[in-house]
Amino acid sequence: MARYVMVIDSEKCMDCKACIIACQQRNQVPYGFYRNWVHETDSKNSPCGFKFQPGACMHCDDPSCVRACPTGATWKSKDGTVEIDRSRCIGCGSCIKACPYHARFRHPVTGTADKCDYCHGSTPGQTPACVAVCPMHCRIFGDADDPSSEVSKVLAARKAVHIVPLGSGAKPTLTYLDVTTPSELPAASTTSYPVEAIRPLSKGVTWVGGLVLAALTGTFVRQLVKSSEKEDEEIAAETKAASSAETHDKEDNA
Amino acid sequence: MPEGYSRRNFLKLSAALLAGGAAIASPDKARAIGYVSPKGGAITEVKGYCPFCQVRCTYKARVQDGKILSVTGDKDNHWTGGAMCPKGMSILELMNSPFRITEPMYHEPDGSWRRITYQEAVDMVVERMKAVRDKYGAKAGNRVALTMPLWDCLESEIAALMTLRTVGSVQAMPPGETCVSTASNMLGLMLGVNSGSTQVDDLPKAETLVLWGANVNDLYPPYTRWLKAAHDSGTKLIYVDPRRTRTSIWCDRQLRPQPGTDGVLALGAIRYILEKGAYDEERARFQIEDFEELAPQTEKFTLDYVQSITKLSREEITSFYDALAASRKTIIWLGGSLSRQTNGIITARSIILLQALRDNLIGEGKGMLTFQSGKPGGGEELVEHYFGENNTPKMNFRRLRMAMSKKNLDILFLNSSYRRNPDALGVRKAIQNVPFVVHMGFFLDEESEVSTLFIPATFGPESQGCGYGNENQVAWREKIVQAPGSCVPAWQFYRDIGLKLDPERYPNFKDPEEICRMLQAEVPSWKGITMERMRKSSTVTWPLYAEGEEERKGTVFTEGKLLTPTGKMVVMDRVFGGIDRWDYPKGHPAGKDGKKDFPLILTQGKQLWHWQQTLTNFARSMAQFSNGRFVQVNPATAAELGLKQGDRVMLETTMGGIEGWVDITENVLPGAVFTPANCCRTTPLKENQSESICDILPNYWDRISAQHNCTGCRLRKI
Repeated sequence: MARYVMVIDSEKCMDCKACIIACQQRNQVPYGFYRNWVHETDSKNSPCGFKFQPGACMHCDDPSCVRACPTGATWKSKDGTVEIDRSRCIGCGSCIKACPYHARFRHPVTGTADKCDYCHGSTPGQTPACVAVCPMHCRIFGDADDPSSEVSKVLAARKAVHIVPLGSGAKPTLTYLDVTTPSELPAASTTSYPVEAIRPLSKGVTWVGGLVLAALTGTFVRQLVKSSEKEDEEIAAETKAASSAETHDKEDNA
Repeated sequence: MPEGYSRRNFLKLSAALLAGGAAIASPDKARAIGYVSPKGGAITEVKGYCPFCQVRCTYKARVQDGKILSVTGDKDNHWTGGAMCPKGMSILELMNSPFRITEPMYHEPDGSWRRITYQEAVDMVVERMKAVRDKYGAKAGNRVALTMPLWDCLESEIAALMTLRTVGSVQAMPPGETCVSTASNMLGLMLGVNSGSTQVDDLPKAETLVLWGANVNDLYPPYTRWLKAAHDSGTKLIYVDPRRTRTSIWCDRQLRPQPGTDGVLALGAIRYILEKGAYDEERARFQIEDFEELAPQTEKFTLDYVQSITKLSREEITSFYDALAASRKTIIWLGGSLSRQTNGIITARSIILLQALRDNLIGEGKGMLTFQSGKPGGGEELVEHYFGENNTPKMNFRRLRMAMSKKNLDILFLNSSYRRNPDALGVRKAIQNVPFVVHMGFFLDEESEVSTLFIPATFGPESQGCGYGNENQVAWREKIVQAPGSCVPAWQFYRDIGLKLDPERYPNFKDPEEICRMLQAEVPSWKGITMERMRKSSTVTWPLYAEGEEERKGTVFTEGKLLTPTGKMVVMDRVFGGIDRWDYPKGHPAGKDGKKDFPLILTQGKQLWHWQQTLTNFARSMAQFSNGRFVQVNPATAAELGLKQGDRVMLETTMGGIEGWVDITENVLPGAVFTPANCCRTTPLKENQSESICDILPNYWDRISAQHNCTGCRLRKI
């Protein structure tokens, strides 16, 4: 199984923002909302006065967004991607608040949580738009388990740097090469109370759901066992009763 | 009780629910359901190219049911390697813009617009053209003019030139007149080639690359890869620019001379190299006819003088000069801003002479580049094939403006923005003296305001055609989508007029492909640029005199000598004189005519995600990154003027003022001001709204074209 990773050589970035537009267009993200970004940091050491840091969903190994989701609409896939199933997302916003990187947003059209999916959804099997369009080849994407991939080679040759917000247990897989600015992010906001309150509730919902499902299964099995002739009889009786009721109606009307 | 609720149906329903639930519970199956469910027909990939800067990035458009889903840079493009910048991608949004005007309109005298049909519009133009032809006969030519570029393709340009010729006109204003004309004219004069003499993929072969005012990263973002390639192969990158920009990131060092003093820096370099004897006299004489004039002409540009004018440190200057004196292979890239100062002629000439002195023009990894590095020719040859040789002298924009002001122009085809010209308000007034102005465009912008007729144009993907770009490339594109409403490609509009005016001479072509075939048949330099070849490769380099001929790579001096008639250049030019009379750009606060009330030096230039004053200002995707009319000043200047970050100010010159906000940054030098060239008044997007900077830039004349950078200005807090 592949293990997809995005690697970024942020020192090469010139902040042209091509990656941002390319992503918005490929994935139908409305302008003004972003699945990826370039952070600008004032820097006396930089020849242009800024350091640039391209980023996107970190596809964490222990994603706080997944833990925050009450419906199981988001999960860490075996191929390394943190996925969202739009059909199960109720748009509660818990994952958006839980992400210390602010990588998620509520899509204004679908109302559901949205973020980088390596362009799997729009163009499965193709290079992500942000990677393809970068003039400096800052972003590299591929299978870290395939030793012949560019990602593997560059990870083997250079120092891997991860940025983890202070106090956050995030285990990001998005990797910067050698050095990146800023090297750390401000302390992550802890999951807010409403979400904490939702968690036992959502557990309860899961249990209730399970019981309902079990009952449903039971009924299903019972129905399988139960003779259908009996049921047909019942239906016949019901129909009869209904038609006699209709006759009464007619009489009443007359 | 309705039948739907029977137990049998309940059974079916519950079974289906269970199956669905099972699928949702398994992530892998859920993925099969699809995150964004694919709808519609099969998706195909079609090649196209960006219409904006000269890099001419080609792209692959993903097309479904006649609609473009997205565009991705073309990996097979040697020059871009698949990169694109945000500007180019904005085309997708602009095509479907809610602000786009898609029907022809007539501007009533009371200012209101009346919708007319395309046919009515064509007839109206034809009638006007006929009237001019009947009234002025052989002199009609100077009563009709056209401004370029046409947003479309090479074929549209040819079609328009032919339409002008139906009334005897050749008055088509080249777009680069205010941008790079000084550099191209000087390169033409001294090297015999009016664009770059080499190609950008030669950069890694140079020992030294000097980006002299050339802010490559902001102007041509996809070309940054060539700076990187040069850097990675050991080329030393030296950036000369008063302003720190994105280009600074890729350079080994940057020199920040006072704005407008680059000529002194170059002249000082010549003197330094002569003094050190760091040149091969035989080779220098091979390229410079009056070599002996070089020393007396540069005598006064001592290190002290250079230091006093440029305000660079002695060490910065000498280490730069030593690098130039030692480098055996140097390419110098001339920035656009050098051409926008009235002393740009001397600056460009000095830099070219410096290259000749060091024998850095002829050969691999040597030469000059500009921001208009090669435009394929041959178009005018084709026009002459059908309409005969032209003997009428061409006007420049200055003469055109005069003709308009004196009411000597009857018809103006206004294709590009008049706001690119300094004293834009004056230009606007002059245009308002023309009784019939035809504007082919997309939005109700400043140009529409001064037009009689609005013709809705097409964007690239809505018509086939070939575009031209840097390195003499030609790129072909197919028609991908249907244009909305009555939008027509420029070639069609001009053809329909031309055929009615002169059906005997005007060739009846049905599409750009047919014009291309005409080029291949009639113009020798296009013989090898066949449709098949254009369709097969991303780009083809002009000229190709035979089918299957290999494309030129690297320097244009393939014969080992310059391409001027004598094979040499001169120090003492018949028209422009010597190079010793260097002076500040006109209007510069430190110059003779500097005004003490306007003590700051005003510079303006492009921003990465905007193409001049026009289309991109109407794109929301670009507005995301816009900051409107910002005015950058150094912290020292801000402190002196008592300005804080974000303060509203009036940026004033002797011409007037425009409102902006203060951005305090070390990226500009003390005493200098930088503001972007884009922004327009008519865009509905607030982020891009502002009066044009050219409204307040004076129309100075450098004997070639109108120039305006480095004029004095002041900031008034409001």
